[in-house]
Amino acid sequence: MLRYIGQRVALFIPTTLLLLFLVFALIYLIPGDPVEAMLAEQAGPELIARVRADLGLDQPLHLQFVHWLGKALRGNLGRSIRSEEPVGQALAKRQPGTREQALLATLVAVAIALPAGVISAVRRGQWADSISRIAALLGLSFPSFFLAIVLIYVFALGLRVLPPSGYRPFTEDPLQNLRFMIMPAVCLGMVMAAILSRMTRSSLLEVLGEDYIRTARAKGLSGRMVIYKHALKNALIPVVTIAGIQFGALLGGTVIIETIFALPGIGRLLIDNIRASDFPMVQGVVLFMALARLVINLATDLLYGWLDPRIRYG
Amino acid sequence: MVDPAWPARPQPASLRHSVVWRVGRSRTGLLPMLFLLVLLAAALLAGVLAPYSPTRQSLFRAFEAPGRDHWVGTDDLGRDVFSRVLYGTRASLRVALLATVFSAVAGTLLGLVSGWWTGTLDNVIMRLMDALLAFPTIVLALGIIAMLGPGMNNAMLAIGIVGTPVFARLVRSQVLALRERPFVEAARALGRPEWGIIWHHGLPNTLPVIIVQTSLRLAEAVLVESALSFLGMGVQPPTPSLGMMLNDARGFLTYAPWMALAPGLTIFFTVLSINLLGDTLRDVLDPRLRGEPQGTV
Repeated sequence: MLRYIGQRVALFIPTTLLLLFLVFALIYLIPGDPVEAMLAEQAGPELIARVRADLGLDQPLHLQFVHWLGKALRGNLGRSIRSEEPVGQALAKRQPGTREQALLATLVAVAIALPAGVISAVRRGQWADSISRIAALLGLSFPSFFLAIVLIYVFALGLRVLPPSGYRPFTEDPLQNLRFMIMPAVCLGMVMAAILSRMTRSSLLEVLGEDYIRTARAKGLSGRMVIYKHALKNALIPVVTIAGIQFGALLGGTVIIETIFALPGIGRLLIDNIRASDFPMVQGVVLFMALARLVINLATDLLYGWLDPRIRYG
Repeated sequence: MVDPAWPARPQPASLRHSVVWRVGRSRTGLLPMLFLLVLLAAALLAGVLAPYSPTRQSLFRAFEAPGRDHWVGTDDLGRDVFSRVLYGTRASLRVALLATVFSAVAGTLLGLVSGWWTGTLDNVIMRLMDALLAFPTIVLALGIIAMLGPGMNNAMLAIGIVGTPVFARLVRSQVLALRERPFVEAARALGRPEWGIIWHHGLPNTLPVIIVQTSLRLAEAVLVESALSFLGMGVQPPTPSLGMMLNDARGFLTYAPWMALAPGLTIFFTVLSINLLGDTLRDVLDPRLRGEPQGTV
């Protein structure tokens, strides 16, 4: 296992460094002088010089990267141009909202996908399988932002059972928090549910064809026992991996969902700062989201190796 | 005279004919193919088919429900929603199609180079692709647009860059297997130049997986384009786009739900059709890939 961890981490480091470089280089996509693009026209030469020095733009490129990297590794991602707030602080403040959303969305996805995938595999070729597969295809094709609008129309404006937007922290009022979060979680978790149910179905079907399942059946075990005790355990290993990868991918979806439901999270922080041309803030949020996804993927990889010994010895 | 060094090249005309025929014969292939053809024709002929100008405002006719004059109703500024959907589809499809072509061409080139000349170059390209893949799709697209500025061309470029690594990795893995095949070794033994071998053997043999991947990426490109326009980062007004129309409709859901339904359902059926067609293409061209899940926005 240690060798496996070493291999994974060895792959992780250069990818992370390149990722850091890509985020650093983003600022060079700005047409013209980035500092002038960032600041309002009335900014004086003093402020321009200060921001230029702050970003290290008065140095050669490689030194700029080393300088930026050193600061980033110490958690210093610069300051917002508009509010002067440190980027790291803004991220820390907004991160719980996004984390809660992603966790709830994953819960929703797993709660839908596992039963749907199992029923689909067990009743292969029957109407329950067809319904589950069609639902998965629809889930993959329905844009999350359109689903959000449909849900708001039905549950907030029509039935008036849920608030259309807003947020209340879980620690203040758990019930209100859930009322605010349920629609965003469903919208965010829908694609994941579709992918996981497809994966559960195909993985379970594969396992059900294995010799040891035939042996279990030959021993006279009941169908339920064979599926839940023997087949599902192994069938869920690849599903866990896909769930991990999808959890990382959920972060992207939060950008749209937080904007629609007015949730205070990292996704909305990104959109608000793109609109305000606050480039250090945009850089910080993009870096945070990409790094978070990379770390989640690494953790998923390690978990996969731990769950399935064939992977680490393969 | 047939050159014996290039025996494995497929016959493009017969391949194309049999693929279209086999996709058309399947139930899950024919309907989406017809829908997409109609949609493409409607988008291309928007100038002829649209009963009104997509930007003509008439405040006296704002929020008109679907009826004889306006088949899908009017929006808050009295603009004809049907005409706007036609022009919006044109803009969305244009961005998605060109971005996917960009991803496919750039990714295929990088994958070919990386797979054929394994070594430092391969390592650098693949680590770069890994780093690009680490970004959540929409976040990288937004990061690029944040720097370049919003707009149709920048959205196209951003979606194109975001889609490139998937092609690069896929083509590389195909090429790695191909370069050890006997017919490639035979061509090499005959003294054929490496680029010639790639062109005559590498590319044609990876074409089926590239086609399948292109169809699947196109669905995601439509979704990302709509999401970017929804957030105000893609196609800019006055040019209508489906995502932008959906965002505009948010404030008027109780008075004019058709403002959201028309663009929303158009995006949904477009993505559904591309996904169904992609699945059918995958079954026809590359049965080994069947059942692989595809992520979307």
